[in-house]
This record gives sequence, structure tokens and C-alpha cells, in this order.
Amino acid sequence: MLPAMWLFNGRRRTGWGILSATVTKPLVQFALAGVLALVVLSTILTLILDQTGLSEAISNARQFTSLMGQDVIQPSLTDALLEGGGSARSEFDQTIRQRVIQGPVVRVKLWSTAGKVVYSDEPRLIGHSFALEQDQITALSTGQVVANPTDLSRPENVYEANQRDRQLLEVYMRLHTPGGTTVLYENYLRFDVVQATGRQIMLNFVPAVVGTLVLMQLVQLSLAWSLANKVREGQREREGLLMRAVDAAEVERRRIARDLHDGTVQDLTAVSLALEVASRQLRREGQLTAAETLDYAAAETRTSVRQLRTLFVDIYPNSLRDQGLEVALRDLLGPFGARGIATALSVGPDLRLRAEAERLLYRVAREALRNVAAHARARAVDVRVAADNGTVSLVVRDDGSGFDTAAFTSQTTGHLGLRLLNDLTRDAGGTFEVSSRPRAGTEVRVELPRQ
Amino acid sequence: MITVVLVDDHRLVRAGLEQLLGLTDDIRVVGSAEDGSTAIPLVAERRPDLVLMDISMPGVDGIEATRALMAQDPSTRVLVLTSVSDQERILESIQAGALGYVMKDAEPDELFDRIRSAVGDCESSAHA
Repeated sequence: MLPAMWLFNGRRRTGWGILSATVTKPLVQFALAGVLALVVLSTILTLILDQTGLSEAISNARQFTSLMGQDVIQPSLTDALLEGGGSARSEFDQTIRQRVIQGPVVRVKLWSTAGKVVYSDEPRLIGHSFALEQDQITALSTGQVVANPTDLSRPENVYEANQRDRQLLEVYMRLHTPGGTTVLYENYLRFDVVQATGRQIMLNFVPAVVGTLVLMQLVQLSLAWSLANKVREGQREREGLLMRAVDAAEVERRRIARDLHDGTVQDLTAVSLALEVASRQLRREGQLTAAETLDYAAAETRTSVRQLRTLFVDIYPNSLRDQGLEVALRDLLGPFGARGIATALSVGPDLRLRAEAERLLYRVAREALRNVAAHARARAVDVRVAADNGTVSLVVRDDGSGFDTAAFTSQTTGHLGLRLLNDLTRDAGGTFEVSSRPRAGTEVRVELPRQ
Repeated sequence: MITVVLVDDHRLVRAGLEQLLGLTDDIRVVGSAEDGSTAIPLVAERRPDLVLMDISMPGVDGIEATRALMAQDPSTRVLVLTSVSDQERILESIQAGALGYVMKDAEPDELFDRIRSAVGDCESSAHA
């Protein structure tokens, strides 16, 4: 079973101050999603407009037939035509051929209410009877102008074989002869001409609609760009504040260290010297008990000075500033050796780290080693620093008692130091992991961008 | 008798060291200074066997003062006193001419031994 692991911030950034990648990528994703939505919307709108254009064209066909029926057919209708008079049919046929069979109209039929073709520009149909279709019945019974695609397989359309490569639209309209006889006027229109009309209607709308969509997309992109810039500025400000806070902490550490050195340490040193002098004088005078007491006090004072000196070095490690990370880490490991804990330190060659990265790695190592010293009861502790092309990693591993990492993620329990370092690492564009489980040791791993 | 000049900016430290060294039979403090600039003419005047020099002092610090003393008289013996184990600064002072260093919180006997050995080593090498 692998130790429990908490991984913080899988993000990688290219540098300490470069955060634009985190903004640019979502912006590009947003733009691509917008273009995709634009294509999908345009396709849907085109289909809708196509359908609308077709419906509009069929409506126009009905209007065309209605006007044709009222203005041309109705005035030319005679009762003699229905009775089969030769001259009446000849006159009507002439009118049809001159004024109707042109443009989209390719066939004309005139039906009796019984389903007999009383006239057609195709003479072979005249006198034949066919069962009326529902559209014909509807037109006759309601007086509506009805239009539908033509079914060329029906027997009354047998002479439309030359139109098989074209689809036709048949439109019915009820008319009356001067004697009051009801007839059904039918004309066939070429579907491609009707559809072209629909397309023309659609083309009038498509540029405006697509143009509006493109404009909206551009406006959205502009807003997104503006928002992204604000986010980036916010990130920069946050990073700047953090770095200033870290720098302020460094300044404060130096001040504390200087105050300790110039004040408390010197005072205690003077006290220890004075106690030592007094002790020796008392010893010369034979006051051995008092001398021993002052001896003890002097020794304790010197111990306090040493402890303060250790603290001073700890809060402001000169070794890190002057001699680099490896020496500073070795100094941190020194006390472990004195306590009988095996230590190992491995620092890769030619690290060349930024000062910020070096300080952060040092702080992580120091905090991790403090935890080892305070809680782990370890027999061995291992510190490794390694670098590859763009990343430097620090690993602090011990074989001690380990702990439940749930406590690490909890805001109410301990490990505050590690959590703060986790935040600092994240803000430096790195990753921070703590792997541990009870009685199986602990590993703290930090990875940072080198530049 | 080993004669010593003390250089330390902390008055109580100077007083304590002077009294402590005064309790020995073979070491005597013949002068004390609170900074490097005061120490340089004092050493020239008193010509002690050893100068106990603090590193961190305002104005002319221990390293600069050691360098100046060596320029003034290369035979001057300087033992650095420090309260911070700053390896880099100690190394600098040795490069400036100091014979070695001793921590201010060292046990008194260790301090005496370091003074005696600093003077003794030099005398031995001088006799040799």
C-alpha cells in the first residue's frame, strides 16, 4: 500500500513572474468554443431559414395560383368549355398557352367536381376521369388554395414523364363558370424555381444573421480579453504583495538577528564573564559554596548564549546567504548527527538557482527537518536536491513514525508551517507534496521552476 | 607575562574580560578600546603580546582593524573574539591576519589556553 499523498497545485508555470499562460489558455479555449458555437448556430439558422424560405416560396406559389386563377382563368372560363365545345376549348387553350404556360408553370388542368379532366394543355388527358386526391377534395370543399409536391406516380401525371428529373409543385384552386358550375383549377409549378425563390428570401436574411453572430462573438472576445487582463493584473499584484511580504519577513528576520547579536547576546556574555570573575574571586576567598553557585550560573548563561546563537543562525542563515544551499542544508542536518540520527545529503551539481527559489527550498527543508526532530523519532533522515531542464526538486525523507496526512489538510490542526510553505510554493509556480502514513515515515517533496 | 589589548564595543564585555584575565597569573590587560579606529593607535602605543579583537563593531570593524594593524606592524598578534559562528566572517578576519578565533561564550579555561597558545606558537616560531 502506497503512503497517502496530498498533491498541491499541479500547475506548472514558466517562471516566478510569468502568469500569462494561465490566462491565455482559457482565452484561446473561449475563442475556439465561441467559433464552434458560431458555426453550429449558423448551420442551425441556415437550416431554419432554408425551411422558412421554402414555406414562404410555397405560400408565394399559392398566391401566384390564386392571382392567375382570378385574373386569367376565371374570366376565360365558359360553360361551353365544360360541355366540350371545340371553339371554346380552342380559345381557352390559346389563352392558357399565351398567358399561363410560361415561367414556373409547366402544366394546367381543369377538373370537374366528379374527377373528370375537362381541360388540360396536354390534350390526351381531356375526358379522362381519376379519383380525386384529398388536396383536391379540400380545395373544392373549402375554397382554399392548396399546394403540395406532385406525386408523379399517380395516373393523372403519366404525361409528366419528361419532368421526372424535376420535382413539381401542384396547386389547386376552386373556380366557377359563369353558369355557376364549380370546377377545380390546377397548375404545376417547377419546384426548383419555387425553391430558388425561397433561397433568395433566405439569402436576404443569412448575411444579417451571421453578421450579427460574428459581431456578438467579437464583442464577447473583447470582453473576455479585458477580463483576462484584469485577472492577470490581479495575479501580478498578488504575486507582488506576496514577494513584498516575504521580503518584509526577511528584513524583520535580519532586524531580530541584529538585535539579538548586538543586544541580548552581548549582555548575556558580559553577565557570564562577570559571574565567572565573581566566582573565581569567591573561590580565592574560600567561599566555595557561593563560588560553585556562581560557576553554575555562569555556565548556564554561556549555554543560553549558545542557544541564542543557534536561534540567530536559524532565523537568518548566513550560510545560505554566503555559502549557498548545500552548506546551509548541511548546517541544518548537523544537529541530527549529534543526536545519533543517520543523515544523508545529496545536492546536484551546477544548480544555479534564483535567490527566491533557494530561500524557499531552504525554508521547506528547515520546516520539514524541524518536524522530523520534534515528532518523527526517526533513525535516518535524507535530504536530496536535484534539477532537470526546467525544474528543481527538494525531497526530505525520514523513516520515523509518520502521521495521518488528513491532519495536514485540516485547517484546525497542526502543521501550520508546512501549509504556509505549501501556499508559498504554489504562488511560486511549484508543487508541494507530503506523503506519509503512521509508522511508515514521511516524505516532503517540493518542485519549483528554476527560472 | 602576556600583555593583552581588548577591543570590543560592549563596555560590560570589556570589563568582564579584563577582570577575568586579571585573575590569571600570566595574562594582563594593558589597554582596551571600544572600536577599531581607537584600537589602532592604542596597539601602536602599548605594543601588547596579543590583541583580542571583536569582529562586529560600529565604524571600523574587527576585520578592517586587523588589516590595519597588520599593515602597521606585521608582527602584531590578533585573536578574534566573536559571538556568532559566522564562518565567512571568521575566514575573512584570518585572511586579514588574525591567528585564530575564540567564541565569547567559550569556557574561561579555553579562552586562557587559546591566548597562551596564540602567543606561545608565535614565540616558538619566532625562536625557531
